Amino acid sequence: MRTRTLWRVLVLLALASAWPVRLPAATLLESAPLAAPPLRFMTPATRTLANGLRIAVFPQPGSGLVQVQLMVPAGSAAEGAAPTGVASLTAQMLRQGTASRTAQQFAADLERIGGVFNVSVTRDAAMVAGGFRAGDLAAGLELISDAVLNPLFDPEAFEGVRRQAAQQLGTFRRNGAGIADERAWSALFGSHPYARSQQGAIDALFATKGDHLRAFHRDRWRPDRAVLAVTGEVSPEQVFAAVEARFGTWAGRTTPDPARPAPAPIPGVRVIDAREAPTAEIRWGALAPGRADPALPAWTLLAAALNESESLPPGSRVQLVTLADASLLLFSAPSSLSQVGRTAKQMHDAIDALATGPPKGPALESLRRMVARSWPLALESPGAQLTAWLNAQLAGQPADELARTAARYSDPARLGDPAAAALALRQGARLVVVGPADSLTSALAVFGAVQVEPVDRPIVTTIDTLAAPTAAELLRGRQLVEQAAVAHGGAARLRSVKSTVVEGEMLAVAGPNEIPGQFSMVRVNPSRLVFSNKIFEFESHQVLDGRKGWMLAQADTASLSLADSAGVESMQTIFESDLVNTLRGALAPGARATARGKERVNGRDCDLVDFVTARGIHTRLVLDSSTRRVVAIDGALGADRLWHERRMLTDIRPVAGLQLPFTEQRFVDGTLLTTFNVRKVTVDGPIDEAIFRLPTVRRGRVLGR
Amino acid sequence: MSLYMIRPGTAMVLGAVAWLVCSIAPMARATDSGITRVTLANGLRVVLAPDSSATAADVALWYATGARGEKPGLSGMTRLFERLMFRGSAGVRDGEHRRRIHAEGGLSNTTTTADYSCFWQTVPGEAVGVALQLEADRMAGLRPSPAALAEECRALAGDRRAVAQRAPIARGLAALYATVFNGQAYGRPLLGVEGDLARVTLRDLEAWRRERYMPANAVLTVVGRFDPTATLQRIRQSFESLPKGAAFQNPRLLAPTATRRSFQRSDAPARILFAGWRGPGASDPDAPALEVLARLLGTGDGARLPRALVSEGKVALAAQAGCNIHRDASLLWSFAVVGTDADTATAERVLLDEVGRLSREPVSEEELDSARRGLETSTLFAQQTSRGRALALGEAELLTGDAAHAAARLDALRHLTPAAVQRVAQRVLTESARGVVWLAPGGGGR
Repeated sequence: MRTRTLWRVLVLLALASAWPVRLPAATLLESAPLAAPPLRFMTPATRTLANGLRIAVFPQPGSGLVQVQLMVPAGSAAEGAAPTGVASLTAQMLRQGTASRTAQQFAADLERIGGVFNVSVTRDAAMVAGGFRAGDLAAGLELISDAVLNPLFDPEAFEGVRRQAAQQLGTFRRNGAGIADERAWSALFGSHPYARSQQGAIDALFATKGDHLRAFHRDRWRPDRAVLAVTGEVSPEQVFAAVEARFGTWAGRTTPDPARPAPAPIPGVRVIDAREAPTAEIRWGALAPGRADPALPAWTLLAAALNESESLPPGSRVQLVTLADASLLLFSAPSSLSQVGRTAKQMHDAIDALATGPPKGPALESLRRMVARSWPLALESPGAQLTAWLNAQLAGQPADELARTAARYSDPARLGDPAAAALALRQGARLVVVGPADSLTSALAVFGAVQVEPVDRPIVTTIDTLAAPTAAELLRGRQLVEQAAVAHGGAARLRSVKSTVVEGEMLAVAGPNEIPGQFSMVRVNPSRLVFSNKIFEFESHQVLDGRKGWMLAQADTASLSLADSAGVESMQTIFESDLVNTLRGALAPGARATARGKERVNGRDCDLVDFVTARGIHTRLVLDSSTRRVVAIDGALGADRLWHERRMLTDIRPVAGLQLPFTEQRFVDGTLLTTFNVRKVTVDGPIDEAIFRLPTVRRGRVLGR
Repeated sequence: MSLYMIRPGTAMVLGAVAWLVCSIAPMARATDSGITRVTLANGLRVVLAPDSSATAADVALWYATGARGEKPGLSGMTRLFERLMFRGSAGVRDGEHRRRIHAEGGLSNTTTTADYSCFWQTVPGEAVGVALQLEADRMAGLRPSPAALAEECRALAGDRRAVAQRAPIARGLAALYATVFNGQAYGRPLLGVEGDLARVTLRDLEAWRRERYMPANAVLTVVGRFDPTATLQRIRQSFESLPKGAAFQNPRLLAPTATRRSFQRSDAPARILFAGWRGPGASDPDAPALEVLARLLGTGDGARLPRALVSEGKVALAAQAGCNIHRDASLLWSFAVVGTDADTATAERVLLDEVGRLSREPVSEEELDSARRGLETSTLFAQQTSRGRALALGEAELLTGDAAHAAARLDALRHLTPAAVQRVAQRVLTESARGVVWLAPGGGGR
């Protein structure tokens, strides 16, 4: 009997397991979850060296590897008055040669131990990361410390890095999505340093000198605020000893951070005029709380809710970029040009729907569950966990922040108020669109006042240049011009200059190509000029002598042409365009120097002063608000009330009692056309009269002067 | 007596006994590296690699069928099937698979090679059960609509067109495959050829499925944060009842005969030389040495080919080499982007001479050590995520028949000697195993 019962049980069990039952979808949804081991995050052993460097070790037995990450507060937001992009360039130069290794030797030594070495820069920080076999900890740390402590900033290597950065910027300028992201940061953060471009800018790139990199490294790559985290098959004591040996001599202190203004979104709609773009890129952006802010989890839920919204435009996505001071919620979508208004509205409606009916009850719980479960997936590798831990440290969060985050997402009561976040999102959202402005502006006007910016041009505060100046503006303008004159040697010294000779190298940009050449510019006041340049085998000379002028072009053959009145006028404009003559013009009684507000240029606050030259040409001086030096000269004021030409002046050096720029970059409508790198400036030196004599050219040959 | 003559009651009893035996003594084997291998009664091989420190789990179902198993006239079926796996099955609506995984906070996708198709989902540990049930449901059978089939055929044609326009290096490597494995399975394009699937029907697809996408032809890997006991139990509940099916037999490869060459026009701005050698398959003990040979030749600026062709020889602008190891063969590939003023014959001679040097002279211990370290670190880094580890274990199980081979490969790499590397070079880097492809500017491709 017992045997028969056993057989029956067996048969039933067999039937239960073998029956090919197909479950409906609803049954699948209700399947019991499988229990999983609790989520665990590594906790570190820590130590601080005498120089302030904090070390955190996360042992990971059995991994066979060791990973090192060093974070320093040297992100793009720390660039201060330095040219935009200096943080990134400094980090890239770390592997371009050290005091004891060339770049090739560094690469070979890294390859010898089969290691990896990377540098990266965010707005908050710069990071050096290395990975090696566990047995190569000492050799790996030696390489990292050599790169961080002893970078050479070799000029030749810097040129290579700069050229590569210029190429990347060129590519970036054709990437509508990238431009849209970048401009959303600037539109939302206003004068907060997070508004700075992470990619840098072509003008700033060519204005950056090796000294900028050295200074940034000296000021920001210091041990007192750096954190070095190590994970792998290593013991804490082993790591502490090895780090002490390699980083113990690292000295200096990080310069204090300047006060950061609060992020202030710029009102209205911004259209970035990418004239050739076949489609548009739309961004609705909003400021969100910083990494350590208890309100941030509500925004994370909100971002997830927006992503899950019904009827989103195709290709749309929502991203919450969290940083220490504040975060940015970016709602992105591509669009055809004809549908831009509709797509932007569709996105706005989704934001509006969240504010009107924020997720609650089971919908909120479902979102919470999804977020709580998905975020650890991004921390799968020990390297990703190290980075997350270091970012938490940077934001002043506790050492067990990752575990706390997990606990926070598990507890609905600790997730803040998504409804309040949704209202803040609707109120604070700003629209940025990249595409041909002509096709987009009218469709976007419904969302607010549309301001059009060129793709390459830095953001310029729009001021009605031609409006009649007020007495206060005239007074302030005069004061600013006088202060600028003082900053460049004084009005008397500027007026006393009789001649200048400037020689150097030039780089002409033609599409994707850069063409190097040489130039010289001789000015003899009041109106004699010889502007010569040589590119490959081609030479050209433009000569102005009072009210007459001529042009000589030479290659295999030579050709001479006398300047007509337009040619003479053009050369007169060139004559007046240098800093000495521009300031003289601005100081002249009839110049009507007028203060026209402020602009941020290359991360610096600048004052704008407009004036009119004696020949009636409108010119704008861009003055550094703190030093009063001339940062840029704008010209070619168009009927559209935009300054179409900007000349950026950098690398100011003392010459014969004057302060003169050694680098000048000429932009037209935001596109860099020429860079002049000055090698030598002679003030009031001897001038060879022969250069002003009209040459004789016969049968393509210069016979003499 | 055949099975068909057994009385129903007796069959049930025999089935029950078989089930009981399986339950008591599962065909399981735990390895030193914490991997458990189980073969279910229906032939489904299961590889479990739990890791309590992981933050996610990867559930992947691998079918030992790839482009190499496609019949003439039905090329592209593997990729088509890959797409249709998301278009609905008995218990899961069209598109529901991805939505369910996403709602659980996870990711899902597929990988198809010449040897296999892998359907994977990286999920929180708590969602492993959902992923298993979804995979089991589509293993039991698909229910795509005729409209879905037509849609996916069109999408596949779109993919094919996109590939035809892809970067010259990728196109050149595809041409090298076709040259080295001329007319053979590994030489076929993964996406198939134009027009092959124009008349495919749902009935054809079902026949295809029954032949290939069955438990006896599959491996299930679960890697990362999960409870192995509960998960194995759930795997049995979800998969063991499915009919076994027959193990699919891939076509055999023929031995290489002589150097093959091909010349193609492309819209690339420079001339590119591709040279490749057919080597042994994944189970062959010489496979690790082949990886070392590829690294010595072409990984990093200091490797032999960039040195000989670029920095010293000045005949190329860039040079690189690598190695793809398949189940029954491998390809050691190399390419050089030849400078505009360089002579193509010289470039080819320098490249082949540099490759030949590996057969003529043993590598130095230092050079070998650097290559071994590089391979070891890149392998270990790749396996730091549950997806990466699943890829290593699943491929090892599929290509060599043993997931533990992933660890054995690293061990073999560590013990390679200069003499062993030279011996493998002499075995593989021969003229008869070689293929050469030139890609030259001239627009349009083929």
